[in-house]
Amino acid sequence: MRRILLFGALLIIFPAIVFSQMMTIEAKLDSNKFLIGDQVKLHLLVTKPKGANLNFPILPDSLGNGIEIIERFKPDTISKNGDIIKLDQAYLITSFDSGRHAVPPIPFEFLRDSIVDTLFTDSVIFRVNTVQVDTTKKTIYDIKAPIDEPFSIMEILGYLIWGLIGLFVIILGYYAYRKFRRKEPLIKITQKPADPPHVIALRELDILKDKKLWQNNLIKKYHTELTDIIRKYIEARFIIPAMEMTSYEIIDALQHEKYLSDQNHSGLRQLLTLADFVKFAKAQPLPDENDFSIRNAYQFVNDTKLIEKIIEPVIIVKEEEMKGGSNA
Amino acid sequence: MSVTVDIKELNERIQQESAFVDLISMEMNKVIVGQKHLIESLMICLLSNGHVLLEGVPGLAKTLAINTLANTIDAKFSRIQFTPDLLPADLVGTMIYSQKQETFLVKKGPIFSNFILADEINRSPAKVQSALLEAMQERQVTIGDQSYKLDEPFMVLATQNPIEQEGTYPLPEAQLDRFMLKVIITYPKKEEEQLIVRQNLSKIFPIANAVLKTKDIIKARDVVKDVYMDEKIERYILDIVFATRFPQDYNLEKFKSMINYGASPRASIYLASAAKAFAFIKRRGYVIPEDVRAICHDVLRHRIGLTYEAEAENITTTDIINEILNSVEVP
Repeated sequence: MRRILLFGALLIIFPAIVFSQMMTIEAKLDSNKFLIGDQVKLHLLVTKPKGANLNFPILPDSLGNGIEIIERFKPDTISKNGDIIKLDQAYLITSFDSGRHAVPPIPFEFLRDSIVDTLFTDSVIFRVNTVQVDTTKKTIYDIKAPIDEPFSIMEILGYLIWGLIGLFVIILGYYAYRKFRRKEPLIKITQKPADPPHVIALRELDILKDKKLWQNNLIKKYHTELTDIIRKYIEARFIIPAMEMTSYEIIDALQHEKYLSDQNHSGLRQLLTLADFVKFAKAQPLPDENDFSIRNAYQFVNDTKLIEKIIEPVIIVKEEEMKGGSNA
Repeated sequence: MSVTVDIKELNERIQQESAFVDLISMEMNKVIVGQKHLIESLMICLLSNGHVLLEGVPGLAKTLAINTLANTIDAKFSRIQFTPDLLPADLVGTMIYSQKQETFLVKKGPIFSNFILADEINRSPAKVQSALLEAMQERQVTIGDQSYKLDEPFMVLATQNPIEQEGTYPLPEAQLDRFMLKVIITYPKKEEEQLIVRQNLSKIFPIANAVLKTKDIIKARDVVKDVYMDEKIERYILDIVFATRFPQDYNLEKFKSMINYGASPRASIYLASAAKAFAFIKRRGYVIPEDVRAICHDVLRHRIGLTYEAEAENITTTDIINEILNSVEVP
């Protein structure tokens, strides 16, 4: 019975022994002695069967005991011998503490029969030596003061530009806010006051007269321009859409206008009717009629123009003050 | 002022040729009280070889006006009451087999007249409307394998009722376009209606006499074509028509989404010819902007398609035409 139990135990333990014998891990330094601040490579060497699931550990920046990792290298395959492969992962380490130090055992996790197991490397002892200074031969100097560099505007130019932009935006925002509060337009464009309608009309009539259109047999053009001037004037002066109205509609619209005399009405009628004849019925007016039309236009504008009257303030002097003034 | 010779001559010719306008108006006024616009519109269509669609509620003398116009002219007149069971053959005619002659004889329909009153045109189905509208456009009718020219003047005066919509077949837009004018008839004034009542209650109802022959109408149509239309008026007409198509170009952006389709080139042609006819009626040998404005609503109102948005906003074609006339510069 005992033999059977022993045989069973061996059957369980034997594959584990064989497996662990096939897989080895090792930590090794390039040198076990180096000067303070010098850098040496720490190699983590793994020998394992192909396909064995073993992971390199992720080491922290410091391994403790004043050992610092400066750089990590990628794992590298060193050799392949049949199903056995040898891998190496190197780390560049340094130490700024003199004395004896030891790289602690580094754990490697591996998977065996669905069980995660851990193998540890042996600790590696090394020595960090200090630099021996012979103070009798060497002079120790004090730390040098910072070098004075001349000041350059270029150093702050970027900050200056951004600062000015920021300041401008703040001022603009404040200005817009004030305008908004006062319900004023953001930008006030001061326009030159437009000329009153009669000034424009009289100016254009003068230009038309100087063109001497009907004298050059451009009668249709003359009457078209003449009626356009008068219609534009009526539109601006009486606020009626005269440009979109026919002659009869204009005459009808002004029929009850109190500022217009009978003479103005008849003058306007003559002007528009004659122009209609010329424009639409190929009429050829006599020179007098052409001249009469423009004279009627001048008279119509002059008689109906709006005149601004400046009313002088009336000063009321009290009777008592007047008396007092006369007594004095 | 001297008017150039051709216009002067034309004016004189028109003074002579248009004398019948007063005669017709006088005869029509004997029967029809008021409705001056309706009478003018009928005259325009008569003189410019167009057709007219009258729309108005029942009892506004639409049929009577057309009847009276036909009476004033010594011409053949047919009245066709459009009903849902009307067939194209009832309108244009058909081939009838004569046993005596042992052959098919053509039986011409009521369309073979000078004036056709198509009463309640929207009551008949599309095939009958098409038969009529084909005759309106082509001025000929085909029965069997033979085409027959229609007598001149040929004028269709159709009426439709805007209230009763049940059991009606509205005219499609393409067919509406063939009517030169669509005239909306409104109620008479109080005084006019008083006269209508008196006239209808009197013992003798006035009858219009024939004062004109068909050849006079054909002759007058030639004169109407000679009425002078200046290039400025032509441009004014085109501006109005283009404003219905591209309102945004005439500062009418608000109508861009309201107009589904604008007036067709046929509208420009009809505006020009109707304006000439209107000038003729007013005894003028040249067209002025007033003439265009006077006929603008009747020519354009059935040629502008409105969108659902316009209908939702209660915008009518009349509103759009008014705005266009107020926005387009008069020459």
